[in-house]
Amino acid sequence: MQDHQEECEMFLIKRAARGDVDAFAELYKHVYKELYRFAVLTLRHMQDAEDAVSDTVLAAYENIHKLKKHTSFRSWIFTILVNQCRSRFRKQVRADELPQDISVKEPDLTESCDVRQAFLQLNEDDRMIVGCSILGGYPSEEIGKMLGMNAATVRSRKARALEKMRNTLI
Amino acid sequence: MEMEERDLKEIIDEQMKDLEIPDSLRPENITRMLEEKQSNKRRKHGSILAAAVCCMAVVGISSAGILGMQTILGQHDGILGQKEEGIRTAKSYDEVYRCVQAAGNYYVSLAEENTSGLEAEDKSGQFDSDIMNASPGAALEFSETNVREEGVGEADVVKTDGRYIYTMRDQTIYIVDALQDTMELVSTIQLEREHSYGIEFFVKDHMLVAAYSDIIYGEDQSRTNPFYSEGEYTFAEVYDISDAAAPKFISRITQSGSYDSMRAAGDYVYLMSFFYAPTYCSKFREEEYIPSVDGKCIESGDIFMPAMEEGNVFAVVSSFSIRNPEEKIDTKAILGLPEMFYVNKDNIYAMEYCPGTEEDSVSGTCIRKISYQDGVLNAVGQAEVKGSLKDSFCIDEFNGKLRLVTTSQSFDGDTASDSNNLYILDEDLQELSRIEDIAPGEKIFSARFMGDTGYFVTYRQTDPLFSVDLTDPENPRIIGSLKIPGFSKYLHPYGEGLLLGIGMDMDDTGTVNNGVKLSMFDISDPSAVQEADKYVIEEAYETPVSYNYKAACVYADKNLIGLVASFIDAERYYIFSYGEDGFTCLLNRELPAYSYNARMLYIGDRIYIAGEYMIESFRMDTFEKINDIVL
Repeated sequence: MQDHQEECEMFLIKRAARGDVDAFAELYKHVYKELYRFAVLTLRHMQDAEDAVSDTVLAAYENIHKLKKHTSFRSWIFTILVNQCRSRFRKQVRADELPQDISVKEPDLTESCDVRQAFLQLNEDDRMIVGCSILGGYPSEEIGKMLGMNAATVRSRKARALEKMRNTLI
Repeated sequence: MEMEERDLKEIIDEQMKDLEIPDSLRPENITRMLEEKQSNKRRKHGSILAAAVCCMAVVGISSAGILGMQTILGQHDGILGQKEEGIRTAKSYDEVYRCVQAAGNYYVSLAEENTSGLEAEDKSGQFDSDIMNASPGAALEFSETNVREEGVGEADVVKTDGRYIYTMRDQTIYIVDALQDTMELVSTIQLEREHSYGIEFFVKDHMLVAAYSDIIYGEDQSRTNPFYSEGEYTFAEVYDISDAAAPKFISRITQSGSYDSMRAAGDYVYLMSFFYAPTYCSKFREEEYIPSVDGKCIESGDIFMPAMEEGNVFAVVSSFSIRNPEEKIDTKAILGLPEMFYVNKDNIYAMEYCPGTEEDSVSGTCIRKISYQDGVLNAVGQAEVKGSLKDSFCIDEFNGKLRLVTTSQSFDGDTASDSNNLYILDEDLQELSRIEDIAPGEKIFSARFMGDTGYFVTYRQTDPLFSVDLTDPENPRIIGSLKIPGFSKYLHPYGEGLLLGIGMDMDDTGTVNNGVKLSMFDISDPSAVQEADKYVIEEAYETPVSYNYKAACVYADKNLIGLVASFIDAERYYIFSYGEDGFTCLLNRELPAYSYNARMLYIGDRIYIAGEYMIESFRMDTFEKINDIVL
């Protein structure tokens, strides 16, 4: 069964690499909710989350021919999203220069959603660590590789971040 | 009890189950978007893959030009120079408290991501000359860490003193005898705190100083413990390594905040951290909002207040002598929203973000200048310029003049537009001249000042780019520009008339990333900069050089350029030389997993690639492998 799924995925990846938009959409269909959820939890502004996912889609579509055999689409597109989110942190800070009324226009999920608040109290790196681990399902080694830290650092920071989140959530 | 990841996942699933997905992200709409994209390759504003054309602007700066600019451009009403009252210290903790409170819930994680951006200067050598005489016995020439400012040593994750190679993994520093036929692990240093992170170190005069961050929890506190309150602290540990086989712990200094960087000048070490004061604590618990050093709150007279009377981030700088590390010499804390440091041989500049006002939405950067000598820190002054600095290479002091290039953003409704500016300030941070609105619509991607000339790379989505000639005082004008696909994120002088750029290569439409690119710019005629050659490491999606200049192992005198390139499935180390025929790839080697921190070093006629897990050595003439050691 697993093999069959993998085969299907490989087939879709090949088609997408040749420019088949529907094949790409089929791959995307299985992951987009997760991607958006990740972006919402790690980025401060909802508009940024939407843009990060949409830029991820474009980058993934452009580069899917580079996806190596035996790498899952989900894991690969997640990596792209992680980079998109990181590159937005700086922009976010600057976005705080926006006139107040613009930020107010965004639907404010922070009030109603404890878990988002718990994420946003963490610093950016810790948000990425927890997000990659809990939402992406990545092991600490992989996360370390993505974020440029060693696995032990990822583990200890994750433990502390979870501790901090617990205090907010429970 | 620690919250299980599983529990958190359940909470997330529960709370996010009704999260509404924007229509634009639904698969059916994605299909449409991609189809449109296929027929029209133009990209939306703001995407990192947006059409990328790099332009190198060449700015000649002479003192004559400065005067001329002042007469021509002095009429402009900018935000520069409005706050010239100089640096003021806090009168009391009360005053600091009010300032921290005023910052309220302001989003201040600014500085945290900014640790890669500290430093500032040029000259072709660029090496850690301070550390040169680290090993009196060593007769062999050896490489130094790529530093921002010649003569100001910086910590890194790999070092050599000409005999030993020092590298680290997790909380352990490995000392390896590099000159034996078989490299040998001589000893290790286990850092004091087992969860420490962000570790860097340097080696000087038989001393090793390691600095890092760690979080102190309530249970760590006791009467014997110097920590006042929970939170993140920076530690610097000093070891005597005169006997490399038996490193000896000497002392430790602790200060509030997360570790940013460390500098060494002469016998003195300067430790920098960023401390985020909580904005909701009690005024009577000053230990919570005043940063401390070795458990003692910093005196109000050593705290420099921000110009705007609000801010809750402290840049903390402490100094000690390597000869007597047990004794701290001085500490200052700069309050505001500091983002990065630039340190040269005489001064420490702390740059901080200044939000725009209602009248002028353009945000600025406040520069605070602290002079230092023999460990003693003194406030000199402060000034503000429009826009933000990409990194510390965008600020540079030369002959007492401070030159800055910034990118500013202004808003019309919710449409942001960028433009770029050059400012020149004197010793007292008074404005000498400025040029604003350079290359509107673009952002500065990298910069390098080399004596009287400044170079910067901008990035835009359409049309060409400019270089500005400031040498004719009456007539500042654009003298040249270079338009090439892709962009350089780091610039490094490479001997006479050459400037190396490291960045990304993009296709002509600017939508497809072709790989990591090395460009050699011929700058012998600054009015006609040429890309003399380029080399694209195809399929590489990133190089750590983009965000950490210390990862650039560029030894122009040996004609060696080393860098890590990241691929989807591995990291590889590349070594190049540059000659009449352009770039030559001398070595291309897969690294052990997770080796993005690898550095190329040399000692005598050997080249080393040293990372967390392995050190390999090669002959410098043939690049034939000599041996390796797995750590």
